[in-house]
Amino acid sequence: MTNQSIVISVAGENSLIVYFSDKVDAEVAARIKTCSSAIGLALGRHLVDLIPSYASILVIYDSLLTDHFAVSKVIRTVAAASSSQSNTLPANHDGKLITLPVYYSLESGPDLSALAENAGLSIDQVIELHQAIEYRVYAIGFAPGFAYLGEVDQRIAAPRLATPRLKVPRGAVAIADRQTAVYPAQSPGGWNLIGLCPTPMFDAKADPIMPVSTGDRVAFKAISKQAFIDLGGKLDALGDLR
Amino acid sequence: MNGLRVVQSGVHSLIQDEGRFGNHHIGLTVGGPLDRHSFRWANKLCSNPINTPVIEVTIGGLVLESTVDTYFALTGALVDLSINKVPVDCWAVNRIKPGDRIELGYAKIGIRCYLAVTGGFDIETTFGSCSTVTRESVGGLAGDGSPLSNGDLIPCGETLLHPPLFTPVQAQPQHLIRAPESTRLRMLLGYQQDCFTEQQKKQFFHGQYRISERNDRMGFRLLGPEIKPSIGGILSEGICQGAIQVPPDGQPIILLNDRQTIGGYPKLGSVLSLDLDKLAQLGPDAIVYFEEISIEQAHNLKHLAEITFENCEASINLASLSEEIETRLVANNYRGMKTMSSAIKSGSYLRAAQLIHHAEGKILIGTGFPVNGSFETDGPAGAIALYRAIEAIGGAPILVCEAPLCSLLSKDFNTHEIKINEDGEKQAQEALSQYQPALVISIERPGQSSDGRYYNMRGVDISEHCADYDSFISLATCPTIAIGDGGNEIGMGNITEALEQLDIRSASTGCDELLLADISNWAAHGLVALLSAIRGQDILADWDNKAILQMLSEGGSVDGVTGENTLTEDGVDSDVTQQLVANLRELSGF
Repeated sequence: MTNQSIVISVAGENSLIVYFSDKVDAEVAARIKTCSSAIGLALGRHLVDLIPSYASILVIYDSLLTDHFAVSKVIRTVAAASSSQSNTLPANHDGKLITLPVYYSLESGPDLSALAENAGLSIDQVIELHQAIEYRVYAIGFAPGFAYLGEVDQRIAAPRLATPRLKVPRGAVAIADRQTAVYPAQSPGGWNLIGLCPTPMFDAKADPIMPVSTGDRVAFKAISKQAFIDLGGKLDALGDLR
Repeated sequence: MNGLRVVQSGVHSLIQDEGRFGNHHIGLTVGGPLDRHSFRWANKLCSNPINTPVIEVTIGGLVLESTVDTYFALTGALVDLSINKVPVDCWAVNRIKPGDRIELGYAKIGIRCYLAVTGGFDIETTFGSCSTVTRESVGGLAGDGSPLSNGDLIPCGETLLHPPLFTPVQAQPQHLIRAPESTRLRMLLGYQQDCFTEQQKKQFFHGQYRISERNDRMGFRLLGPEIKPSIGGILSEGICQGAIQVPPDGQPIILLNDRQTIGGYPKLGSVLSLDLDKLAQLGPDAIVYFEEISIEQAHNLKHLAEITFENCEASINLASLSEEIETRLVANNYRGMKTMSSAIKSGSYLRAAQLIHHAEGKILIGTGFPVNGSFETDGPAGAIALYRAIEAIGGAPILVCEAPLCSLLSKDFNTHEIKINEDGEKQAQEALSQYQPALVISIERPGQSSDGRYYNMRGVDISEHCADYDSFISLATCPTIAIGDGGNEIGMGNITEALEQLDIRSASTGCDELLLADISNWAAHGLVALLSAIRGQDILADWDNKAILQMLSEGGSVDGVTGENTLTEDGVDSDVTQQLVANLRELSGF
């Protein structure tokens, strides 16, 4: 059972930040997901934007329509309701499970061999361990659609590269410390690349725009190169990688 | 497709609306204008809804060529601004026509300019906004986050009318005018403020910070007293606008519109948004310092600023309004008045309106152009418009004309009848001493030619049908205004030389202020529009042109051009004038 009490702090003239915990925890993530939707519903047009993250929610409100007293009150009410609910509902009830296919290989995962070598594991073991855990989406940020998933098995945790790459291809599946992620678009990046995922993680024209949201659960499933291509995956961007 | 063509994109020019909201949860940042105050004024000057796309120009150098007839306003940093190399004002509305070239120099005070056009740019939105965020590849002209580049066409529509507005000086950001040695940034403590000791906070609030070279739309990195929190990092969390983040080197970063939505460095609090507008106009090496305020103070300041903005109306630039009206009213050049207008010192309508505005006492308005025992529709309708306007501002107008017009008008208005074949000077002298007018106006009255006779447009001598109003104008000891549309009316003596270009027996009676128009009645409406702007009073609102023409028609009026008893003025349908009145009303700010 996590600590149910929340801490609300001022962030800015029109923002409050709500802390649910001080550590990464699947149950906290689930509660943040529930509370985010509930706060959004409760504030209605008074809400400008909302940022759920690992253990907090930043609530940005329209300070011409409401104030921090009223918003705090709404947040406390919502949080109290969510804590009484989570006592009666099974854990993980609210985060949907999304399975993302990954083409793990030396070709699609240029850092796979170094990571395995440093970990004292075989490449197959690394691939196996990466798939063994059901991850939580703890936060979305850094770039549009970039979902921070945690936490990977301690054995395959790996520090960021000393020199970040200028171009990481779209769909790259990567590890940094105990986090893993799928790059939603080509961008610079310093994470260790271990495979490629053909599922678009961010598509402005799709509904929903992202297949996952904060608090959801994600599983990875290995697929063949042919299956990767059949699912629309592209290998051409790999030419730039070393 | 029409709009503004980018000839030179300048240092860095981006399409921005208010920003992208409601998408932080998928990692999209806000974007939008760094100096929101200037952004809002650009749109306010253009009478646009506040969330209308504009161009944010950093440093300057932007050159645009218009393919449309519209208006634009440039706010924010002060730059040398010109249209076709002719300097024009920043923080004011300027007219542009197809082929015109707008050139921005480089920022002299401030860093960022905002260029809005009336009606806004027509740009497709991505995630509900067209704000350009290059780092995220969203927004802008193509929706891919690209800044404006040479050859781009920014689509916008033609606009109808727009008052020539300018911003009251008190609404312009003070720092743009004073360029102070250091800028105060008010801030609220918050976030991880407890991780900073009292000693560190003292250092922070007493220190001066210099803006480093590393400042952009994501954030401004400051250099000054180091403040190191007791923790190096935190679980990544949402970052709000203006958050002051302190990385391990102890040098604060103020995070702005294009910031990443989440981050893991400790934060001390956030800068008040009103002061971020000022920060946005500061460049490298500018000095800032921080002052703590409470969230309640921030709330009050925000509300006060909002109310001030809402209540602070852009003022009408009366000189520009007058020029605009002078140009519009002779645009058709029916009888050469556009050609003649260059002979008149610009600002005539404004000067005439000010004479009315300042007149204390009776105002005589002479009108009536005799046609075959009747009278023209052009003249009396305008005279009535002036009469009502003068009444509306508390003045005492009297219409002066001969029969049969006089008997028709005397039913509803104060009138003074003048007679044909009387001693004109004597008649005028008597009336002038009776009324002691503060102002004498003539609208579409035949004027004596140099031979003392009256001629119509075809050069036919109509002296036996005309009473002498010329003497009212020439003998008056008060100021005089005369309106005409052909060259044979009272007042045209002011431009005798220019009138030689026209095939007309011109009138030689002059006046203090001569007003020209394609149709004299229109000049009256133009004059009332300026009077409305001067007085801040919506005087043109109730004008019903058809009803007036109907009344005149029932009294036997004829159209001066066709000679028919129709609801027209100089061959122009009543609806055209009604539309013109609506346009003039809009131009005058109502």
